[in-house]
Amino acid sequence: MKSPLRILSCAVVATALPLTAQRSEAPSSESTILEATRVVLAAGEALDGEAARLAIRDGKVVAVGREIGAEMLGRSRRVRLPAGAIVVPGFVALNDQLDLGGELAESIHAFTPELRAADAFDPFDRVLPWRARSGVTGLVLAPASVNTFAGIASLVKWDGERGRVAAADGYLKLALVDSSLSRERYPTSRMGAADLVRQAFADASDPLLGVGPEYAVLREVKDQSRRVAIHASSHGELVGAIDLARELGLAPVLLDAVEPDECIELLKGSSVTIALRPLDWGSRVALLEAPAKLASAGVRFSFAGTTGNALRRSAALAIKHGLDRRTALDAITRIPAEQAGFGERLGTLRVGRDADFVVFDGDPTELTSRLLETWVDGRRVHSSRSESNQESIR
Amino acid sequence: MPDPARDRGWCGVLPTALFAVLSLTELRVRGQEPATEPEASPEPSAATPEPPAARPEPYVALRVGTVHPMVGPAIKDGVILMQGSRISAVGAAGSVQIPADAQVFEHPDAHAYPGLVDSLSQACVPSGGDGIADAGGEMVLALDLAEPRSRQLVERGVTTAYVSSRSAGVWRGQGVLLHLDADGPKPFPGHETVGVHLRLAAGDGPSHPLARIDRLAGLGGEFDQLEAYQTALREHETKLAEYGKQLEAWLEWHRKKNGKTGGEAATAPGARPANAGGGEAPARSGEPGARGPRGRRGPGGGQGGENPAPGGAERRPPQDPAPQNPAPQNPSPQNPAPASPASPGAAPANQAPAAEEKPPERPQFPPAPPRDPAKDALLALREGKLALFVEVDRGEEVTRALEIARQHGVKRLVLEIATRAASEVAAITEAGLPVVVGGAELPPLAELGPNDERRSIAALLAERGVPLAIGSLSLERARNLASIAAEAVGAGVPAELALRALTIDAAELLGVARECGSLEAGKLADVVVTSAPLLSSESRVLRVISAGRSVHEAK
Repeated sequence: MKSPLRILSCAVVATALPLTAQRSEAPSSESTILEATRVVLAAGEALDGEAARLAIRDGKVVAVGREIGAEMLGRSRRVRLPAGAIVVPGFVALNDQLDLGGELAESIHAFTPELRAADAFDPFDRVLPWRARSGVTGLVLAPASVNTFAGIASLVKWDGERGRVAAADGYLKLALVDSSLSRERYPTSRMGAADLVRQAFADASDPLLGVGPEYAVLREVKDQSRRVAIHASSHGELVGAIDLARELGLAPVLLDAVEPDECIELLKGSSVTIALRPLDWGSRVALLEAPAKLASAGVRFSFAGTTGNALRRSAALAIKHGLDRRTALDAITRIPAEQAGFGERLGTLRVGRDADFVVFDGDPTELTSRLLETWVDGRRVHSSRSESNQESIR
Repeated sequence: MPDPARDRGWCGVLPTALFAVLSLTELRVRGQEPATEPEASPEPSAATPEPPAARPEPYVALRVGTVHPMVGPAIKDGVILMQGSRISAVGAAGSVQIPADAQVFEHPDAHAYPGLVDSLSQACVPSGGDGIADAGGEMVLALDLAEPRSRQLVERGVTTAYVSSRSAGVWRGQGVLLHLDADGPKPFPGHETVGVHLRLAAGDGPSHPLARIDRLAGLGGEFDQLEAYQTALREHETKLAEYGKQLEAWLEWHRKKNGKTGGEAATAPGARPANAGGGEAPARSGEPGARGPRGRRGPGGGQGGENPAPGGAERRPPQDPAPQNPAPQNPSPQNPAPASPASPGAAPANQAPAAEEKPPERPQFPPAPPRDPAKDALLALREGKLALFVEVDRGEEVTRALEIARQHGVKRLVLEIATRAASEVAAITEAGLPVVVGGAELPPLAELGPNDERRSIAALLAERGVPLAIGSLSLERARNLASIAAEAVGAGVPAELALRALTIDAAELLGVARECGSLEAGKLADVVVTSAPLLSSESRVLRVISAGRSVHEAK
C-alpha cells in the first residue's frame, strides 16, 4: 500500500471497528464488496462493467458503483460473482401464508385486526428455505383470509439456517373474498362484510366505541401510519373494495386480483393499487393482457406470488403480452415492497436498504435465466452451484 | 399415305381404320390448342398468398435474419425455399437460388424455426369427453375437428399436435397425431396412430405407499388374455388358408365340369373388388372405410355387404408380417401371384377329371373370432406397431411400467409426466426411454426434506441425455408452449435440448421425424417465424407457414 502512516491508521481503524460494532454482528461488520457483470439497483437502473459493484455492511447496502471509494475497496472482503452474473433486488412476496394454514386463520370472529401473523411464525418452518432458494428474500407473512378483518402482516426473512421476524408491524389485512365469509357467524355475505368494514372504521373514530387495540389499528390505517390491504379477487369483490376505499378515504392494495380487466377505468387516477394473482400458463388471455393495460393506464400493480418461479413466470408472461421489461421487474421487487409498507428497506438496492438480492446468469424476466445465488441481509443463503467458485480477493 | 389396312388381314381393317380416324382427330385437336404458358404465378410480394396453381406448384421463399433448422448450426441471413407442401432447400442467402416467380416473405431480423410439435395436446377434444374406456378406443373417432379454439393453435406456431386422452381411466386408448394447416387440424397423413396410452399415475388415488403398490400390481393384467386371443386369430388364419385351397378346388371341379378351361385363380366368385387395401401394407391412410372390422364404430363395418372375405383380406397388421404366419392364401385378387403357384399347381395336377364324380362339398367359410379392438391394440404393442405411452408420477410407477413392458413384450415404451420420479432417473436412462414432460414442474415440497435438492425431472433427465419432448396438456397452456420451454431452460435444461423437445426430438418420439421437426429439404414446409429467439419473453409470432401455405400473419 502507501505510507506506513496510512497503514497504521487503517490498522487502528480496523481494530476499533469491531469494538464499536454490536457483538452479535461481529462477522458482518466487515464490509463485503460484490463484483458482478451487472448490478440492477432498481428496475431501469443498472450499473455495468467496472461500476457493477455493491458494498454491504451489517446487512445493509452501504455504497454502490462508483461511490465505492478506493479505500473501501481496499479494506473490504471482495467477492467476485461468476462471469455474466446479474444482481437484482430480491423478490418480495406480498401475501404469503407459508404452510401455516390454520395457525393464521382466525375464522370464528370476523373482526380481529389486532392479531399478528408474526405470532404464528415458526423460525424452522419447512417451506421458508424454499422461498429464499427461489429468490424471494422479503416474505410478508399475512393472516389467512378466513375473516373480514384478518390481522396484521409481518415481514419475515431466512438467514440460511433459520427464519426470523424482521418487522412485526406490517399492513392491516382485510378480506372480502368468499373464504372470509362464514355460515357460523356474521358476516355471511359480501354485503355484510362491506357493512362491517364501514361500521368498524366509523366506530374507530368514536371515542366511546373505538376503545381497544383493535380500533387503534384502524386509526393507524385512517391516518396513513399503517398500510392496508384488501383481499379481493373477482370483479364484484374488486369493485366493492374500490368503493369502500373511496368512501373511507383509504389507499389499499387489492390482493390477488383475478378479474381486474374491467376495473381499470375505476382504478385510473385513484390511490388504490393492485396485486395480481400470479399469471400462469393456463390463465385467461384477458388476465395475461391485464398488466400491459394497467401499465398504460398508469395503475400501479404487482404480482402477489409467493415463490420466485411464480413471480418470474408472471413477469415473463406479462412481457409476452405487451408489458415492458422494466415495469415487469418492478412488479416483483419495488412495487410489492412499497405496497406492503416496506419500501424503505426492500425492493431496491439503494444505500441504507437491506442487502437482499438474487444473482442470475441473465435477465430474471427471461425464464431461460438461471438463479445462481440468493443473499439475504448481506449473507449468501443459497447457492445453486454444487461447489462455490467465487474468488475472494484481498 | 400407306394404308395400314393393306398390310393386315381383312379382320383387322375395321379397328385399324378406327384407329387411324381417331389419331387424325387427335392430331387436329392438339394442333388447335393455344401454345401459351400455364397461368402466371402470383406476383412475388409479401401480400397474402394465392392458393397454389394447379401445376406446377409455385415456389414460396422465406428470408429471415436467422434460420434455426434444428439439424446443424443456425444460419444467418437464411432462406427457406418451399414448393407445394414441402421444403426444397434451406441455406444462407447466397447459396439458395430463389426462382424469379416465387412468392417471397421477408422478415429481416426475425428467427425461423420448424413448426412446433406439441406431444401432449388436447386439440379438438370435445368438451363432453372422449368416451374412451379401454386400449381399443380411438381418439381419432372422438375428435371435433371444427372445435374453434384448436384452430388458433396454429397461430402460436404449433403445426403438429399429438392428441391423447387425459381421462381418469387406466387405459386411455389410442391417441391421434394431427397436422394443423390451412384447412384446420386433420389427422397426420400416413402417421395418424402412434401409441396406446396407459395411466399408472395414482392421481387422487391411495396415498399410503402400500396401497399404491397394491394398486399398481393390479394394473396391466389386460395383457394376460392376449395369448388365447392371438391363438384364436392364428387358427382362423390357418383355417382361412385351408378354406382358400378348398374353395379353389371346388371351383376348379365345377369349371372342369362346365367345360371351361382352367381359369385363373383370380376369378373366384365373391372375390373382392380392388379396393381391399390389399391387407398387406399397413398403410393407415386414415380413410374411415379402410378401418372396417377393426374399429367398433368404423363406418366400413366389416360384416356388411357381400361376404366375410373382406374381413379376411383386410387383415390387421398383426397378421401381416411373414414371420407371424405362413403367407395367408386369401382368395384376394391382390395376390394372385402367390396364390396361383399353389392353387393351379394343386388343381390341375391332382385333378381327377371324372365327370361322374359327386361334386365336392362347398367348403364352409370359417367364422372369424370376435374382434376385440383392445386386444388388437395390445398385440400391436407387441409387434412394435404402436408405442406404449405410460403416464407416471412417482418412481414406483416407472418401475411398474418397465415391468409391464418387459413382461409382455412391449417393444416401445414412452413415459409421460414423471414429476416425482427423480429416484428412477438412472433406470429410465438405462432403459433408453424417451419422456414427454409438461414443462419444468418441480416435485411438491411436502415430500422433500429441508436440505434436499429440488429439481425438475426435465432437468435431471436432460442431464443424462434422455430424449425429451414437451407437451402442453391443455389448449390454454399450448398458447404458451414456448414460455414453458423457456422455463425448462431456467430450470437446467440446455436451451438447445429445450428447442429440440418442441421440434425434432418430439417428432422422433412420435415417429414423424421424416416428415417434420426440422427445416430440411424434403420435409413438410412447416415454419414459425418469431420476432426474437423463440424462448425469449419478448418474442412474438410473426408468421406461420404450414404445408407450404402461410396460415398466420401477425398484424
